[in-house]
Amino acid sequence: MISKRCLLILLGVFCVAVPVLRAGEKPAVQVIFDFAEKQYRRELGTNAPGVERHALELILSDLNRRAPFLRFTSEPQSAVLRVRLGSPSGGGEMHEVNFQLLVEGTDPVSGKPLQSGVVRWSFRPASAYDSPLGSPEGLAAEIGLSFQQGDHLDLVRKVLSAVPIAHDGTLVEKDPIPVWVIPFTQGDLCMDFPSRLKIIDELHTDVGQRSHELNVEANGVYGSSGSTASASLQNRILSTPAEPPPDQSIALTDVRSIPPTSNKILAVYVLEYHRLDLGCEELIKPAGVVSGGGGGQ
Amino acid sequence: MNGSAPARTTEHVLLRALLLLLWIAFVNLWLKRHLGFGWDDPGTISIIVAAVGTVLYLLEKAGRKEPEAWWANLFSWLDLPLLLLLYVAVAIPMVLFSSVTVLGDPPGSALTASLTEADQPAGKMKKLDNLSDPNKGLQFSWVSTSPLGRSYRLSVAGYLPQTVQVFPLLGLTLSPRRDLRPSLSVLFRPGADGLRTLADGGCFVAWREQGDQRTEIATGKPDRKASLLVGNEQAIPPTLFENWRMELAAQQLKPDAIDSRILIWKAPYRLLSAIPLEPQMTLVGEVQTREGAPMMRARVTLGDERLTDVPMEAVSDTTTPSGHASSESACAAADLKGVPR
Repeated sequence: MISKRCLLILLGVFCVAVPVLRAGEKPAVQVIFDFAEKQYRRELGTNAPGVERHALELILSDLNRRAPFLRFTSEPQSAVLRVRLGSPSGGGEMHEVNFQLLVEGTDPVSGKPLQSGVVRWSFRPASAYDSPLGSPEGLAAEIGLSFQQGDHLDLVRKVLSAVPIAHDGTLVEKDPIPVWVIPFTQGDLCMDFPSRLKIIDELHTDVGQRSHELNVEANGVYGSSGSTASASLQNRILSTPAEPPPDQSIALTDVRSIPPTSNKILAVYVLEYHRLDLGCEELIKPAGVVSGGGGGQ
Repeated sequence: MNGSAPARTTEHVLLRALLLLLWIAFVNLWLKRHLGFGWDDPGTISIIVAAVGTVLYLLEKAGRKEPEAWWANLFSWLDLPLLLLLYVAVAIPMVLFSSVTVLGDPPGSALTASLTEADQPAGKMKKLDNLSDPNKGLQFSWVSTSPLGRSYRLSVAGYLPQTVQVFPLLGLTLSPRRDLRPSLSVLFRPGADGLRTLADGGCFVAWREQGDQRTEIATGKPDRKASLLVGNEQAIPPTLFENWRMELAAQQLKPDAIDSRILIWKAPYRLLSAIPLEPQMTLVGEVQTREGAPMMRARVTLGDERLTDVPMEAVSDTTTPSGHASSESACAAADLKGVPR
């Protein structure tokens, strides 16, 4: 017989170990900027930490502005975006210095390790390797500017797509095509349509569980009124299966064959992100309508 | 008695007069050569001496007695002991002192020279320059010597110090360009990291290394990408350019980067060396960051070449060549010393 005290302790441990994001709360990602270029760092000497700090502020600002579907911070988090500039082992006489970005760490909910591809952005081409670094402030500004000029679509597709933005969601319709609603409004993520998502969908059947990885397109907001359950989904982003490739017909048929109540979204990832042109704070949330092409049927 | 005295005074009067004139001419010549001044142009006096001697000799041969009597009256005071005394009096300084003359070559060139006794390097040094009047050469006067000569060490700025023999009477006259070897120069060539560091306000320091002892000989802050020329102004032989090109090509640099680097290296930043650079000296050159951390370094032992070309290499540690912790002093002092830019 487990005592009441033990139950309380177990409950407390569970709450700490499995942080659950509330709806609309974006996952946080710690950004670590590592000014690794060996000779640049040696030349900067004691100014190197200051340059790192200043550059990190600029990078955080850029990421939070350009990819606001995640919350980037310098505070320790289980998900880490590592931004390395240059190589700690140096290179040839004149070599290119570039940014290398990758995600590592663990998913705080599932506890699984996060692994992404690596994106490389040029900071200085080989021909400019020997250009003066200038003042520490100037160098930090140069780093920030170069980072802004990187291919952020590529960053999302290859790196940030490894970080789940949610671990829940709802399959609101299954016919004629499945429609999922994720726990964010358009304003939460500052997401313009269409953007592409990846959903890990788990199906519970009498014979066991099956999961599918589905590429979907966020193309509207859920606006139907009626039941209490549906009201809680008001204005949330909805998504429908993306056009192939890849061919998802088998997975979609499987999803359609199971009642929505047996469907569970395990994780949602952003594959392709389009930011709203307007400031997100200026967004006028549509109410009671389902907008966007192809969804909300 | 009274009859023999005039006879003695007229005896060899012409010869005595000639010896006196010769003495005057010789003293004049010596003064002109070793002290830089005299009574007149040595040539004029010599011609007069020769002319008078010839005339007197011819008169004596012709048996004419009047001129002889006239000369006898004029030089009655000049007896042989006095002549001997005059000759001995000038012979002593003439064999004990001499001079060293350094000619301006080409005329108008500035000269700075020093002279020390070769067997006493720490002894008294004579220093001269012609900065106030570059058209004149330099003359070290009252240089003590001996009848068999004495060795001196002559240092002329821009040339290697040389041991010279200074003899009496003749002294020593030399033209630096003809008689001395130019002092050596070293061209330190930093790579990409060193060039960037220099352009970012880093500095270059050169030391002379003697065992564990290290003596700073040059510092400078080019504030631009540059190679560093320590020592004399020295034209860079075009043959070096091709060597550099091959060296850079071997490092996989692209053609435009190679051209750019050669242009930088061929316009060196010159640093004056505190000491003349000589063969067998070991020098260490180092490019340091603004904080004094070493970035690139090279060590070279000089040979006989007038210009030694030294590529620099990246420093993998943070200590100086002699194991001393690198300090900021060298770079910081470069500003204070007013190193030429």
